[in-house]
Amino acid sequence: MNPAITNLVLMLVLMQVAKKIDFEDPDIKFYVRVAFITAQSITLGIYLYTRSIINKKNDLTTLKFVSPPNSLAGETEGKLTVTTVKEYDLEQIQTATKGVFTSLAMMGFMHLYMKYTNPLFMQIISPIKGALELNIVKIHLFGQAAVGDLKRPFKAASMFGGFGGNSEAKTDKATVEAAEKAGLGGIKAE
Amino acid sequence: MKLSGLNKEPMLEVLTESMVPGSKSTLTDLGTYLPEEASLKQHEYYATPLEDLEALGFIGRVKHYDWTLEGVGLLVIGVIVLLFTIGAKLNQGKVESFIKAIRPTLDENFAQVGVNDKDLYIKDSANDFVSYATGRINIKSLFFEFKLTPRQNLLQYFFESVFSAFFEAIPTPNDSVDITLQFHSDAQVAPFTFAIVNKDGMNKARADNYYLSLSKTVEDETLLPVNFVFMSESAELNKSLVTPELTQLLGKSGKILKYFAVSDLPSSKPTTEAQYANATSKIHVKLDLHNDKQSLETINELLSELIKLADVIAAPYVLKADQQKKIIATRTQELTKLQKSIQDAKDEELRDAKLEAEREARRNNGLSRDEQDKLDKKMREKRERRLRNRMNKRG
Repeated sequence: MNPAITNLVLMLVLMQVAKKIDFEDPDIKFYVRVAFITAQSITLGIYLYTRSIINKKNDLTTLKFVSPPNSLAGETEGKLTVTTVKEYDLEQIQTATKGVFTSLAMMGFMHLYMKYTNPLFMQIISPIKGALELNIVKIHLFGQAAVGDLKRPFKAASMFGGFGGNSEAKTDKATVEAAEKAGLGGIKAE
Repeated sequence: MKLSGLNKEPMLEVLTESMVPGSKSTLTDLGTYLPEEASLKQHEYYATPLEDLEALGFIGRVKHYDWTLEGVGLLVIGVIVLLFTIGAKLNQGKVESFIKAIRPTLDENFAQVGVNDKDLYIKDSANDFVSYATGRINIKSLFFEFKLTPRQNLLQYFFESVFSAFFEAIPTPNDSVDITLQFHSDAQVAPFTFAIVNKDGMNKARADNYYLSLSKTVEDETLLPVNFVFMSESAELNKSLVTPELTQLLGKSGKILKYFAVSDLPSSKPTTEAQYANATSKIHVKLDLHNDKQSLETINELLSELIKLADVIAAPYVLKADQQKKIIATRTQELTKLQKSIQDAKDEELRDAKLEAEREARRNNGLSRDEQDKLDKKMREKRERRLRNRMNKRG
């Protein structure tokens, strides 16, 4: 099922459940905290374990793709990335791990400074769910074949359903070869 | 309870308490509160009348004074200095052991090793060093640029390590050395790019170096170990410049060698024609610095192999005519691109200047504000009309 839809359903259900819970009760607060920290640790654990698998596999197959130009930054040409499967995968894990820390910082602010416990409760299941639904985790942890949707480079999940131009990375030979001779390297900032 | 029209209740307790004769207000109480023994001694010193202090004499005053704060301060400074020295010495040791390891090759090849007769290297800062060798046939100079981890500054080290994980703009601190080999100006080196790049970090290498971003990335299992790729302008270069010794050596260098490249193009993208024209053929090498014996040995062998390669290239090495022609065509293309971008920038500047001059002229034509507004409106209408007409014609 589409993760975006399940996330929405999960959120609605949790909101209803949250209404029934008295977050002012110190006992409940304690349990929510424990559950939240456990959930974040499990998420980080999944990422760390996946990272160790990637490092162990050490797949050095070369991967070339041209990512679409970022029109917001005023780019007209796509940027070529020449990398290895290992490096690409590690980067994916790195991004996901960064996300965990960002949400941790946000939750820390909301809970410790603003004194809300509700968001903590909402963030108990979704990070683990998100981690298990990550392409890179699917490939390495569950051993799914890297074909179809799991073919690298991964398609970025677009919020507007592909609206607003082409957002897919190109891997066809002609585009890559043109980009390989573009001479865009070594641009030094003044 | 509400007295008068105040929104807030007055601080009755404090007020009443201080109004009672003999009782201390809690407010004044806080001001004289001295919780610690050390500061008590300090307090005593400052409470002693000036005459009494003068009577104590210099030695007496020194004994009477509480030196705790100064002591702690000195201790902290001492620790910082110590950590700095240890870190700086560690870095210096890394550079020294590196130079010592490649000394055999350097001594064998160069008349002068080191920046001058006395110094092997120059310390630019506690984590930046340079070294140099010169005096050899074919090779004008060998320049070493060490960029080390800021071990001397633990705070910087810590922040760089943490933030490099979160921000792309901050590089992960590591020890590296850039070696640039320059040929003599009369050497007949053909223009081409030939490079062997470590797969680990090859995207960064391409992004950092202009010459690499013009060449195709090719894997070749017969010539290279699995963790290296070619970024050369012609397959012929790969076949003829890679020796079996080099292949064997690369097998050991996975951890050490980031890339080496022979190129007539500069490392940073030229922005002026002079920069483009002045670039000469060089060999660029980037190594990760590891201080174990095995790595240092490999580095020494690698350097010696690269010097041999430099000799082969300066022999001179001649490509097949059609291959060379193709490579030169790329150069011409790049130069045209560069000239066009310079021209574009110039045109834009001229256009801006012209618009600015026009605006200036309109402002200074001696009209009153109302008249100026009217004129502006007229001009705008004219422009719009013209635009509409053009659209109509096209439509």
